[in-house]
Amino acid sequence: MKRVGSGQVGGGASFAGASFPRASFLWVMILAALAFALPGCQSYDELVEKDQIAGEKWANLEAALQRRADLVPNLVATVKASAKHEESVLTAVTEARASATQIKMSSDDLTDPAKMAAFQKAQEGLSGALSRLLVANESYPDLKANESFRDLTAQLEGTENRILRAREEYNAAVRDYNTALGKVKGQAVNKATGKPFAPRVFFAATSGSQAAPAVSF
Amino acid sequence: MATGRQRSIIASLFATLLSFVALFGSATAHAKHEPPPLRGHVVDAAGALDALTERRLADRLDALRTQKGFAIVVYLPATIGELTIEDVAYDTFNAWGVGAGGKDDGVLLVVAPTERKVRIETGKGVGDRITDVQSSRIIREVMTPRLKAGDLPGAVEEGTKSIERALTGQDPVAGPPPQTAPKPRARTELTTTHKLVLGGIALLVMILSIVSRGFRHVMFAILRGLLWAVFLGRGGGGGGGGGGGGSYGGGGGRSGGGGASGGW
Repeated sequence: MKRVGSGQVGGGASFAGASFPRASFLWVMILAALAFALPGCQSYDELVEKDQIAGEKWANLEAALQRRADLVPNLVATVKASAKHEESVLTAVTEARASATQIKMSSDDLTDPAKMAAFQKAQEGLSGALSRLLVANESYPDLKANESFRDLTAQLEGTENRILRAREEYNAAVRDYNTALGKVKGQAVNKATGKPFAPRVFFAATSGSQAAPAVSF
Repeated sequence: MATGRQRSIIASLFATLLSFVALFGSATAHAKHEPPPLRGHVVDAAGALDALTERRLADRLDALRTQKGFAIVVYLPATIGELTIEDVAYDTFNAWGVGAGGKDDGVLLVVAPTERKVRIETGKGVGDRITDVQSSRIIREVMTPRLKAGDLPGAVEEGTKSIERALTGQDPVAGPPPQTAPKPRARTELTTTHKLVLGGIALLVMILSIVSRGFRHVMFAILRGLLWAVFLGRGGGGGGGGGGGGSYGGGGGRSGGGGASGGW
């Protein structure tokens, strides 16, 4: 291989004269274009894939959050029925649920720090209200003995844990995607293709929502 | 060759990269629990189960997996340290890949004897078969009373049976259909004639052993044979252990945090 190649080059240099440099220049250009385009395509595909994964994780997280919101009316009804409860705590939970379910996040919103912050704040509001409700319920032995209330709290605890895991997985996917996008190659591809990719915002936990409402029997 | 322009491009790219990191920081996940390698259906790092229970449990869970497909794994960590039982169960589940990949049909039961915490962690694919409420009921009604009474092996055994019932579509907490208790075998009362005959035989053997040397030798040979048989039989039974319970090493199943926790 090597000998044949060097022979050809040598031949070209000795008698093809003026035509050789132009042909070789063309080849170099084509090779260079390929050398840039192939990893570029790969990098683009990688970004698409990581964006898709993050999107999927977001869907899981939203499903878990929705699941929690769906539990609230039942929980409120059960508590209302069996405990002569302070109305204010129940109203707070209902209101927090309303504002948490009001904010709908489109896929564009996921790259908008302000919208994400608002969404997180609403969800944290619900977390906080729910944990206050459960803490307040501690002083109602009838309620704690109530089978349906126990089941609801088990569901709520399970859902809070699912939310926690979904959030961890989403953030890991976001980190992965943002890193790929932040790399030199990712940025170059993003610029060259007209910036279809934007960094996603983490669904970060603040001190309030980190602790899922702990219920002990 | 590297002109100032090129250098500034590189610098700006680097700066953007740094700003990405600075802007979004790193949303830190919890510290990871690192479980020992999975070598079977029961991983008793705490040493809280006796060998017999462990083997019986492993055999039962192995049979369930090979027959029905569901993988139930029991993990008894020596300690969970500063982590919550939820973190330990989730990390362990996904590190081991309990259940078949894609089907995610595994269930992990974690009992931490030191911290007195228990958790049932369900795979993503069995959340509808064994709900959080069912997991919670198993812990509350089946396991906690036994754990409180100090019967950890019993709690683990009954707990896994309940999980198995839930996975196969039965009520997890109500026990199996009440079996008709086996009738205690009526003790055969020895009648006087029986006693007399037995006593006669014994007397005959004694007299013959004293009188006849040949008979004595035969009797000793029989006795020795009997002793050897008992000894070898027991040795053989003891030597058969070790290979049982299958060598389950996980199948790539994943958990999304489903299940329930408790303590005692």
